[in-house]
Amino acid sequence: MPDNSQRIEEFTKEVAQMNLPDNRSSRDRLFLIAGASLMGLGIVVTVLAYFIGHGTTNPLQQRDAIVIALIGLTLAVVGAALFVRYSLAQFLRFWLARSSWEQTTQTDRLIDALRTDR
Amino acid sequence: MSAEASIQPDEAQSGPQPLVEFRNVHAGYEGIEVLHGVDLRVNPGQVVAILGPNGAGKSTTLKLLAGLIQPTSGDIMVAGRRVNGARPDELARLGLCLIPEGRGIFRNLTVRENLWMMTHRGVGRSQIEERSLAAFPQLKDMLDRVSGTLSGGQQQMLAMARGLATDPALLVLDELSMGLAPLVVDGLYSTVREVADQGTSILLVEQFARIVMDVADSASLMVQGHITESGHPRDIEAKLSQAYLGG
Repeated sequence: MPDNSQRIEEFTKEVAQMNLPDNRSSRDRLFLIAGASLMGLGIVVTVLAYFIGHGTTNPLQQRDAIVIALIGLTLAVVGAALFVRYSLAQFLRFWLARSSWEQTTQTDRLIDALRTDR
Repeated sequence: MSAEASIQPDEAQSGPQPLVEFRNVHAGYEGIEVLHGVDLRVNPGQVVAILGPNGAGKSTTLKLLAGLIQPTSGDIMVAGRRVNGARPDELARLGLCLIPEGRGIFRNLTVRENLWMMTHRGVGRSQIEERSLAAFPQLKDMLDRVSGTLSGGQQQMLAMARGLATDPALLVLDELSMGLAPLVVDGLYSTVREVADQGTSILLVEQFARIVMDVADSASLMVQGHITESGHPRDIEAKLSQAYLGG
């Protein structure tokens, strides 16, 4: 048998250096859940801040409520960004696969039609 | 390749470091288990065939190796490293080349464009064309044809040419003979034989032992998600008919 050991050696070395993204999908999912949770939490905090500010005539408490509302708003914006980032990535992957599949199907139909015409 | 290269029971435990090893691998689709603890070994330079009837789990085994699906339990080892969770594109880039059932070519692209798709290992377009045409000179006259218009045999040739152009460390072939005339199958397998003679490791799946008789060093019979027998293809052939009849 011819010696193919150099190629095998190269392959072994590259496999050893390969970056295994085994936790990637679970990390994506974690960020997606964290994004949705932050978004919900931010909205709740902002609404609570409104009621705090609305329920008092003390300007100091009202200013505190404004600060709390801003924190809530920030949480909601950061959460929305995370959610969009990770849900959009999933959607785009799906869209790309679907687009590729549709194009292939269309070509197959075209080829079949051309063959039938002959 | 001589019979010496085939897997012997005691060698399977000691021997050289295998290029591919499945250790008690379980896998399935949508919660339904298809493979129930598969153990398999391919040594460097060896040609191993997985034989068995439809629905036995042969193609699933290859998909697992290529990273297209993930095992539910067990270990898939490639070149001594556990690769459960590895991305299929990463494995392909390193040199694990799967030629899937149905050829896996881009039917809407020309033959030339299909070949160009294989530059992912940093090999230039002209070099890819050169290597492919060296293996299959018949493709030279078809370079600008849309690959969907080629015959089944020509499409399979293109799929093989694309795979070989990347200088694979491990070639994985899924039912190369499917839907092709016996003469075409013989031609394709003589190329596989040549590739094997150059020392490339090959794992292939077929339904019929006779086709792989002159190519494979070793064969495993897979029935209902289990490897039930391993040995020389000639020995497996007799048991294959029983497997088909459910005996």
